[in-house]
Amino acid sequence: MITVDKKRKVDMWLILAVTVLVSIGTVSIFSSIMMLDFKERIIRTHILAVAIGVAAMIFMWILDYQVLEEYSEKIYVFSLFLLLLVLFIGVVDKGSRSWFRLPFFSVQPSEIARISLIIFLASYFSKNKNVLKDFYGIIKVFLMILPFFILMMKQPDFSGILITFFPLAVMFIVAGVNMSYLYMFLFYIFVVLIIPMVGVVVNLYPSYLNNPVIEFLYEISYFNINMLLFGVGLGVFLFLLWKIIHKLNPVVEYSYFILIYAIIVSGYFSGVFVKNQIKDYQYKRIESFINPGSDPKGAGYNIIQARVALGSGGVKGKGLFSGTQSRLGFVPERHTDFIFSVVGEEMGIFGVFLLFWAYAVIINRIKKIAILSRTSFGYFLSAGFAGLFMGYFFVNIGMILGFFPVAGVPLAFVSYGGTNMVASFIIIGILQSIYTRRLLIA
Amino acid sequence: MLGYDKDSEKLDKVYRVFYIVLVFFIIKIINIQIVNHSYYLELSEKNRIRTVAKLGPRGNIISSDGEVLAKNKISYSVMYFPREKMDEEYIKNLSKQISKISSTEYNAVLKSIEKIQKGLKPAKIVDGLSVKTAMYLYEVKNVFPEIEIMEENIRYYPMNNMLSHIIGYTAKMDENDWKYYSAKGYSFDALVGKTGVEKKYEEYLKGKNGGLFMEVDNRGRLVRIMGFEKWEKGNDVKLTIDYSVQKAAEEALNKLPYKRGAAVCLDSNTGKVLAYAVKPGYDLNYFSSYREDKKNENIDEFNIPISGLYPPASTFKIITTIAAVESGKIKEDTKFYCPGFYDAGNRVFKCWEKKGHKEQNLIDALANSCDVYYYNVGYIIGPYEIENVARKFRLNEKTGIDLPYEKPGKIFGPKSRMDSKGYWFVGDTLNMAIGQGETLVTPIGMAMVMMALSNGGIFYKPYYVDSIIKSDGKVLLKNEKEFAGRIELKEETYNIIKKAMRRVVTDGTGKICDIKGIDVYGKTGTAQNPHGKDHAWFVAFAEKEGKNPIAVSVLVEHGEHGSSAAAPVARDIIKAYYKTNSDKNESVNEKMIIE
Repeated sequence: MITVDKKRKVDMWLILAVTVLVSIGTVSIFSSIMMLDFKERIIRTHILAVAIGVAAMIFMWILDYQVLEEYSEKIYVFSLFLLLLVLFIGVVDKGSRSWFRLPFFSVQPSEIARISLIIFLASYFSKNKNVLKDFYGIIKVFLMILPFFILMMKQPDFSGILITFFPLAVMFIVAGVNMSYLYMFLFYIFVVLIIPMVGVVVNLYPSYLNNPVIEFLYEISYFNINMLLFGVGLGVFLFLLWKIIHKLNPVVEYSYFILIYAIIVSGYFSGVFVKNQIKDYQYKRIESFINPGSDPKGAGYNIIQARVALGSGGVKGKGLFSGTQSRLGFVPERHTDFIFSVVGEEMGIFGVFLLFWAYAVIINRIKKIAILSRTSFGYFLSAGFAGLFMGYFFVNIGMILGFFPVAGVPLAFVSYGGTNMVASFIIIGILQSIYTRRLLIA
Repeated sequence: MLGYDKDSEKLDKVYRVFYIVLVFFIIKIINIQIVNHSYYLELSEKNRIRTVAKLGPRGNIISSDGEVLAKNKISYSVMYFPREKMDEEYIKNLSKQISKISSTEYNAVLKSIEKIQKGLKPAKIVDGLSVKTAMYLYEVKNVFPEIEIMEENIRYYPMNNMLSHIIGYTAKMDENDWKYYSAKGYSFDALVGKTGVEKKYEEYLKGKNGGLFMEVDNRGRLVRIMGFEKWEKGNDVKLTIDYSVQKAAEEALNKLPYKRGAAVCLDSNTGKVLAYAVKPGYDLNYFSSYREDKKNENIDEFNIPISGLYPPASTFKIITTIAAVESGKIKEDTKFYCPGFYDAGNRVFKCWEKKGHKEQNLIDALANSCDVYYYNVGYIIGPYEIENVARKFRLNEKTGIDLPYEKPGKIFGPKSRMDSKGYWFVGDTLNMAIGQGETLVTPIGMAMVMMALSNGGIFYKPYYVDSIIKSDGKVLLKNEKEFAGRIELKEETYNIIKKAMRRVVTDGTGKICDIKGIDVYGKTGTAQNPHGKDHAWFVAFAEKEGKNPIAVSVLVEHGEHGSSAAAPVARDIIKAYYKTNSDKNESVNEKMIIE
């Protein structure tokens, strides 16, 4: 359904929703840090971030977004450069070298790079509308975004990589990617994940080894002779399978089986590789996700305490600045990743629904802006940003609600985080720019 | 618009997914914040509120003259909090430190710590430490932060194994206790009374716990104090036991070279138990402390005064005497000649005095404990009379004292023989008359006989709890004497038996019990024991103006002679009760008549 908005210059709903989120966020952040020693610094940085963010938003709004289209490649390359630079002169925090330390605050180039990637892809897709319809097109795009992922891997910023999947997925779908490739990719990811997951499950519930399937998968998850046997065995198996099916139905091409074989084998190798790469604490996170009780004082602690905070808020909440779980420090990372539990604890389900509503409004308005956008560049941009916000929402809140393992992803506009806040405001500014210019003649 | 309808279809699809996810989130959030709200609320409260419980101290158990028999003592223990991946050297060093300072065996400490490391749950490793030791251990804690010094109230019995059966002991609860006490709000590691007064009066003795309610942060640091509840001391239980008498009884028994024995002293006018001494008894403190290998130790928990059955021996001659006088067939001056033996026709019965007592009257005979005289008496009055009197004196009944495992005596007379379809021979009568044969009595049963003789024939139920007193002095409960029965005897009988029993003490086998200023009436006994040495008896009652008369019953296992083994104990008891120090017979080296 396409509607034409009246001649409004600014999308008020967007502004309203963002204001609501930032307010909720600010109050929750301040409440949660009350007992901390360095609370002045956080308050200062947060206010500064919001101020800079608003300024940047206004700037991006005034700026014609189509300028971004013009310079999209340069912007992307520059952001790749930043990602490379941070590997050399950046500082390490929580195990990854992801930050530039500046006089008053720190900046995360990943956030900027992600926006640049979206801008770049939006531009590319609007110029090459059917690029994703065939295999080689997909490979081409894949190669273009590969540097981004490799550099992110190097920090390593796993949560950043994770969150990037969402805008990418939405943009790919909207750009008309051949769904079968998407499904193949998902299948590949599935195979990749099987091996490490078997490892996690067996760690948690050793009795599963009695199951012959589990045992088999466990046996082949090492770089040894079993691997070779499996590879050969699978090839033989699929070959015979094809022979039989071909006899029954000659239409079936052997290329399918080659493809399946290729995917399984590559997925398998990747899976074993990933299994060896995954660090202990990440395993623990997944274990806690499956069974929070398995490590209640360690990885499960965050989740359990966050859940307690949420649940104890009830309908009305404990009141602003009165959340005991948060105030007393029982929920770790409560001003960043777990800010949602603070909202739930202090403002109850009312606060939660308000937050849900605000997010829904933002994401909804972005869809409107996408449809109303005059250019396809604007359309793809909006789609990408919609995906990004959906990603933050899904991963961060999903993690606290137990749908997702702990992922280290903030909640845009609500969590404390300078770069993230500014980046989010920039996105809103771009969106406003698209919205304002929806009726202008190019 | 711009002709992107086809693409906005795809966008729609994506958005549909988003809304479905949103719905799932809403359901889940309702589940967490509404459906399970109270559960999470409780958890969040548990996180932040710590209670430091101050246990209300248990009430004391005291004697009638104010001596404390069970009290609380503060002792310190060391708890070990295990951490994952502990260095072996570290644990060894820690064990060395602890064992050195607390004087505990190094290997025991090491083993305890290793066991805790395996289970990964904090637990006690040493306890029963003094304040000084605790102070030293605090310094150890600076180097080894895994230990924690805990202050505990433990139950302490300053008199060790005195009155073990009556006082009882406290210990941690086992499963059966837990079923009962958890409903009453006890915490799982609370001490409860297991036996005796500690158990019977657990409800009164238990103190009320108070506590400090604190709000803490996630590191357990105090944020603010939320509330305070005052603890209360439990009620004291006052026993009827007279500590000075009890002490005298215990010391007298301990002085003897014999391993087992008992002495009971009752107030004849009320039934109050003034002393209840059992040798060896068992140390009540033993159960208070934390021990791994309790099961291996041997503890003699046998309650001799009420569960021990022994032949009354010559003390039974009292019964025979009474039966004789009551029947009218024997008088005070009835004389018989004792040549040292008695010819019963098919068998010759001996007197313990081989030389024979020559001619005696009834008084002499009891004083000398002459068997032959009593053979004659028995033969003349017949066994039914004797059995009758024995029954009147309730020797085959329980006294009803509030202690478990009391056994009634067994009067083996013609009636019982008839019941078991046997025959009664003359020889049985003769044996019965001098208290041998299959008749069995308990020490407390004999004490009841003494009670009745000293107060004109009334039986009171023996009791040992006098009252329960609240910490502010208010009396919550007071026990009174309880009438249990009466025996009707001729006045003449009382006169004669008292005269005879007096003679036992002034001139006879009980000479050692002759105390200046006090009228002591007694009887010795030597119970034949086919399995070993004979048991020694001494039963008595004492009168003096100004105080209630008392009944005393002493039994010394394998003590052989009542006069030398049991009588001295009775003497010390009586002296302690009347608080005199003078003996009529000053020298202990008097020639004693051995029975």
